[in-house]
Formats: sequence, structure tokens, C-alpha cells
Amino acid sequence: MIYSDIQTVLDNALYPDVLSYWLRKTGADADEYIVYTIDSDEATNADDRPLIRNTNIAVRYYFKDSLIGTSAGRTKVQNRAGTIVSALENNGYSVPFGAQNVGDIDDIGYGVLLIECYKGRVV
Amino acid sequence: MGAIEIKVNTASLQSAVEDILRDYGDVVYEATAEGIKAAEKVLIKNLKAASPSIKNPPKGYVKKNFAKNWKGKTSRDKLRRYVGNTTIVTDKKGNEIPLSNILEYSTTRGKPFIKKTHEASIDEMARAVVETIKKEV
Repeated sequence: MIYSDIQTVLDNALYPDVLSYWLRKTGADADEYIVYTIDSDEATNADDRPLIRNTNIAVRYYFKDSLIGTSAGRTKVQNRAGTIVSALENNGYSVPFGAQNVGDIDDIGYGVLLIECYKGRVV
Repeated sequence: MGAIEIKVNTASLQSAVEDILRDYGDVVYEATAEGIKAAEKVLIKNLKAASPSIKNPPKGYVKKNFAKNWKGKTSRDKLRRYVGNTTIVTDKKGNEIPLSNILEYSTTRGKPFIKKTHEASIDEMARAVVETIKKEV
């Protein structure tokens, strides 16, 4: 199951420092967190059944704006992005575009680094 | 006395054939570049059609013409083009953000349609490329 796979990959790399959520963040405020969505999970069929599935996941790493006000904070954010990308790549995901800064897309005072990743799997 | 025979083989024709194939390769390359432009137009048309719009905007709403702001741009590699939207909005702190980022990726305010439109347009774009190459070559 792709949901448990991506959740496990992110948790193994970041838990308990950064919590990861599917679709929407819940719970207490945090300086950093991740929200991921499965944007597509396209099947290649053989004999009318899916043989391979290619999934596209958008991992959004949220960090409080104030973090990038200091050199230490900026380094922390950069390192975190590096950790996420490495964890994904080490677990069979391709990350063709790396981490892209997409701005405060929810207008909540958090910057967002978007990490688009892809994984093909035999089903 | 025997008639003169001229050898026709790959060795004697090699240079001429290479020249012709090189020219043909250039024509195919240019035709494919034109095909990519045609594909770009298809994608822009489809993104315009799929762009969200507000039919009854609230008072004070600033119209951004989002659907009209899809643009293509080329790179050094003529076989690669990029399509993006130039509409920019500002967050509470006044930082500029492309509206397309919000629509595609915001988990609270998003209306994702860009990737879906791209995926749904692939067959149509491929047909546009092939049609253009057929015309040019």
C-alpha cells in the first residue's frame, strides 16, 4: 500500500522531530511538519488487470517563517529538505526536481518546500 | 572491349549518403521543434479551459485574469519548452507567490488541476507533434 509506504519512509527519517500527515495537518502547532498527497497512481494493465502502478506523490515540507530568519534556522531547513530527499531516494522513489520553494501557499506564516516524487511498483 | 563499369557501393557513396542523412536529421530536428511548439499550444489551450474562475466575485475582488496568463517559453534545447502561469499574488506579509502554486499545492485553498490537465492532454499533444512533423518532413 503506497500510503503506508510513504508514511513509513517519512517517519523513519524524521519522527519524532517532524510529523507527517496525509492530506491535512491535525493536532498541535509545530514549527515543522509534512503534508503529503497522492496525486496520481496510474496503472499499466496486462490481461485487464493492473500490472504496474506509477505513483506521483507531492510531499510538502512546512517550516515556520521565523526559522529562516537566522542562519541556524536556514541550515536546519536545508538539512531537513536534504534528509527528506535522501530518504525518498533511498527507498525507491525518484525525485527529479529536488526540493522547490513554493512559498506560503496556505497563507499561514509557513514556508513550503515541495518535493515531488515518483515510484513505480509491480502490483 | 568491355563497357566501363562504375562501382556503386557503400564505400563510394558513404560521404554523399552521410551528407543527405545529416540534412535529413536537421529537417527532422527542426520539424520536431515545431511539433513541440504545437504541443505547447495544445497544453496552453487546455489549461486555459480548465482554469478555475469566479462567476460571481465578491465585492472588492481583484480580477487577476489567471486563465489568460498561461505562457510558454523555450529553453536552449529546442525540443524542450516550459508552460507556466504568470499570475502572482501576495501573502499576508506581502511576499509574492505564483497563484498556480496555491491552486495546485495548497492543502487548504487549493483547486488542483494543472497536473491532471497535463496528463489528460498527453495524447492530444503527441498527435499535434506527429501532425506537425508529417507536414514539415
